[in-house]
Formats: sequence, C-alpha cells, structure tokens
Amino acid sequence: MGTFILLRHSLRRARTLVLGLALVLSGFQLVLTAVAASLQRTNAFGPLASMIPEFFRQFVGPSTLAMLSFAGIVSAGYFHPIVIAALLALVVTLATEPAAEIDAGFADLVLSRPTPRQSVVSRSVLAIALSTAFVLAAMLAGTRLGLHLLAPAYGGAWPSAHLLLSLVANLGALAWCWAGVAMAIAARASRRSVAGAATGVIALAAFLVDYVGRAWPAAQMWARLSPFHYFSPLELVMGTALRPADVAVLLAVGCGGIAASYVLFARRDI
Amino acid sequence: MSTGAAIAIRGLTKRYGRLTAVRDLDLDVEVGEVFGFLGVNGAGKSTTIRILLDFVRPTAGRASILGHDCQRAGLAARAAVGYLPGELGFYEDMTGDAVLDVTARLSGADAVRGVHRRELADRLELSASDLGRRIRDYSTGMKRKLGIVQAFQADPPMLVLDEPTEGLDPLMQEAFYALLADVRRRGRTVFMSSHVLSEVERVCDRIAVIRKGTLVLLSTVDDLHRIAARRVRVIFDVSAPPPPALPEGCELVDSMPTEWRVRVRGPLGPLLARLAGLAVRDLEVHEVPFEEVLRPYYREDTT
Repeated sequence: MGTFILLRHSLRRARTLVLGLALVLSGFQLVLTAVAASLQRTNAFGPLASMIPEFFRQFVGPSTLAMLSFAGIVSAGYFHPIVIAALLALVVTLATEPAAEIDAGFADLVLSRPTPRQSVVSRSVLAIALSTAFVLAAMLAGTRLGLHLLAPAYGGAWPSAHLLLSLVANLGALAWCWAGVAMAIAARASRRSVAGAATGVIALAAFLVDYVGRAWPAAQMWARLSPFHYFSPLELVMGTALRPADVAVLLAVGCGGIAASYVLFARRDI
Repeated sequence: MSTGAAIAIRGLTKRYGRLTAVRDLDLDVEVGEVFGFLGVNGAGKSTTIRILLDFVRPTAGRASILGHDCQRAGLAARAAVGYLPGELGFYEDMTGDAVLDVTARLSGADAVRGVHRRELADRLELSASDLGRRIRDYSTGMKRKLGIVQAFQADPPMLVLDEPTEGLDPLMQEAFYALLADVRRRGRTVFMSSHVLSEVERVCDRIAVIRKGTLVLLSTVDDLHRIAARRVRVIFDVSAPPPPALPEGCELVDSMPTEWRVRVRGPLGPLLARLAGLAVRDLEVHEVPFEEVLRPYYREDTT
C-alpha cells in the first residue's frame, strides 16, 4: 500500500519533467521525419552520401550509408546522444529519489510511518518503469504521427514497425540498465547530487570505453565492460536483428542494481 | 522484551566508527506520561530517537515501543507513533494539504479523521488557505505547526517530538501546551526532546538527561524540585551570631549581624526548629530555577 501512495506522490512531483521530456522527444521525432521527408523529396540522400570522403566511410563503416536513408534519419531519434542523455537524466533523477528524500528530510516523515523501506525502493522502480515506458511510447507515437502526416508518400521507405520497436526496446533496456546502477548508488548516498554525479561519471566513462573500443581493436576487450557495448542501434538500422543476449545483459545489469539497492537501502542508517 | 512500558530501552549502544553516540542506555517510559529527554547538542538524543523509529540500527542493545521491538517489529512499533522531526523535511513545492494527505495515507487508510485534522489545524491557527499554499511560502513557525498537525493527526498512542516548540511564537507555544495537555488527559504517551527547560518543567512528568551518550539523570520533575537546594534568607530583629552548626541539609552561605543566608536541601522543618527562640523578623524562601537544578547534569565535570 505504501508503495502506491509513494508512487502517486512521486509521479505527481515528476509529472512536469516526464510530460515535458515526452513532449520534446516526440516533437524531435516529428522534426526528424520532416527532415527525412524533405531529403527524400529532393533526392538528396545519394548526393549526400557521395560527399563523404572514402577514408571516413571506411573508418565508420557501412552504418554511414544506412544512416543516410529515409529510415536512418527517422530512426536517429532513438540513438541520438542528446536523446540518450535526456532519457538517462530522467531515469537517474527518478532513481536517486530515495537519496533526495533523505537529503531533504522527507524520508523521516515517510519512514516514521508503518512504511517498509522496500516500499521506497519499489516506488522508484515503478516510477522509472512507468515514466520510461511513457516517454518511449510518446517517441514512438511522434514517429508514427510524423510518418503519417509528413511522409505519407514515401511509405515504401518507412522504417518497419519491427525496426522501430527494436530501437525502442534497445533504448529502454539501456535506460533500465543505468536506472539500476543509479539506484544502487542512491541506496547508499545521502545526497541526490552525489548519487547523480557518481552515476553520470560512471556512465560517461562507460560510454568512452565503448567508444574507444569500437574504434580501436586493442581496446575491444575492455569495451565489453561497458553497458553501451550492448546497445547497437546502428546495426539495427542496417538490418541486423536485435540480439536477445545484448538486451539480456542490459536488463540483468539493471535488475542487479535494483536488487542491490533493496539490500543496501534496507541495511543503511537513514 | 515485553515490560508493559510505552518505551523500553535496554543496553542501547550506537557507535559511528570510533565515536560512541549512545552508550549502554537503559530507560523506561511509562504509558500515559510526558517524558522529557534532555541533553546538549550531540549528547545522543536524536540518535536514540532515530533508533526508536528504526532510522538508525543500534550497535548493541534493544528498544521497544508498546512491546514491539523497534527493529524486528518496526512496522508495528511505528504504527503506534506520531513523529515530529527536529528538522522538517517538507518539499518546498508541496502544499500543506498535500503533506498532510501523504503522511495521513502512509499512517493507514482509516488512521486520520478529517474532523480531527481540521480541529488541530484550527487550534494552531493554520487556516484552509494556509494549507492550500506551497511550503516555500511558509514561515518557520508555520512549518513547525504543520509538522505538529502531521504528527498528531492520526491520534496515535505514542508521540515522539523532537524540539516541538522550536520556532513557535509564545501564543502558539501555549496552544501546543494545551494540545499536549489534551493528549495526556486521553492517556497518550509523549516522548519529547527539548532545550527549553521551562517548557520541560511545565509539561513533563519525568525527565532523563543524557550526556555523551550516557544517562546521567532520571527523575520526576517534582523530585528534582524536592532535592534542589532552596535559598533561605533569615532576617533578625537583633544581632544574631553565626550558628556553630545547622541541621543536616542546611548550609550557611553568608552571615551578617542581622541576617543569615542558608542553602537548604530537603524539608525546611529542621531549620525552622533551629530558629525557634531566636528573634526572627522575616523569612524568605527562594526556589531554585529549574535551569539551575539541571545545569550540573549538563556539565562534563558532574556525574
């Protein structure tokens, strides 16, 4: 019971953030569809691809060509770094709410009631799941709306529903993974800023490890340690199926972090 | 650990690394009493309260509320408690009503009667429009009043109050004391910490003083007054030489030709008997302020 009372309270407080982010990201999907339709209308994809120097094309691989297509541009909203950063900022904000409540003293009011500590963690898990699902659904709706309103003539070039769902699943799994990491850190922290900053630094380091690993064969082994290694949207755009093992790794890291947060939060002094 | 006490604390110890915040504390608070828990800042009051509410886990020892172990049966223990924290952690963007709603629902669906909450708010002069405002617009005193309402609104059998009148103006302090008198009449137990000794003297039945985590005094307020030394000024019509000896419990502090100043611990009878036959013109008895009675227990060099 306490979980749902706290969930309602949290969602009320976070509603502006969640609705705002959903609105901005779904709007971004609409804009990307408009850009893709414009390029398609002027047959610009071919000339654009030819302008890319050969050495750069070899460096980044065939994903460049996949990106320079109607489906590639439309899909870009699901793996654009700013979009990923915004979604991760949302989940980290929600995941660090237990630390924020301790910091503000609100935890004293909550936990002096017959409220189990698990309820505080469960609330955050549900808030993350519902908010992330809502934002991703809004993004998907933005894409579908954009395709129907702005690019009805290019139905043959549309990204398939399967591709879009795969991209959403991949992005959702990545968000879940970092939510788990943030929750585990926040379960021991007494300040949201510390938990958020620590998660941010770890995420940045993980991103760079994966980035270097993708570009430098000698670092490939280390890249496996990064959750971003298991997030491969460009491969999806190029036609590769979503690898269940990759999704499983991301979900497992997230679930492991959440399990740790239950244990750590139950044992700590408030 | 079922002792029948409202609060039973046995051998409670809490260490933070090398710092011992609470050391082997034993304490019983009886059902229906108003109990003052005193000490300087950092003495271990808040740590003890936080152990009672299971915010903090003890290093050793146990504590229970109404027979429920605070750690092993924390939910049952806390179901019986209304808590007013020393520092109120309200989110500034919440309204007073929202705070009361959330805390009421967490206390249990049927725990709070709207009429009772309204009455509490009225007594503390928190209007409906005040409660509809965001906390960021509240003064310190209004936040404290809101805190008191949230602690009392479920009418729990036990109230744990940390510095309850901090930030309240004198009128609201009176309203709070009246509220406390009401809950005492209805048999509720109050465990409160305070630095305002006049307040403790006024509202508490018993007090405990804790210093560096160790209990140094446990007494009723009445007993403290009884054992406290009174100052007696005896004025004579004619010169009276200093007495060679005074009865037990009496100590001559100063003597002038027609005046003695005596410190008396315990009953005045023996001193009055000693004065019989002397030309006493007047007798003044001064009670020692409560602050002075307690001061030695706050100091480090006294046990």
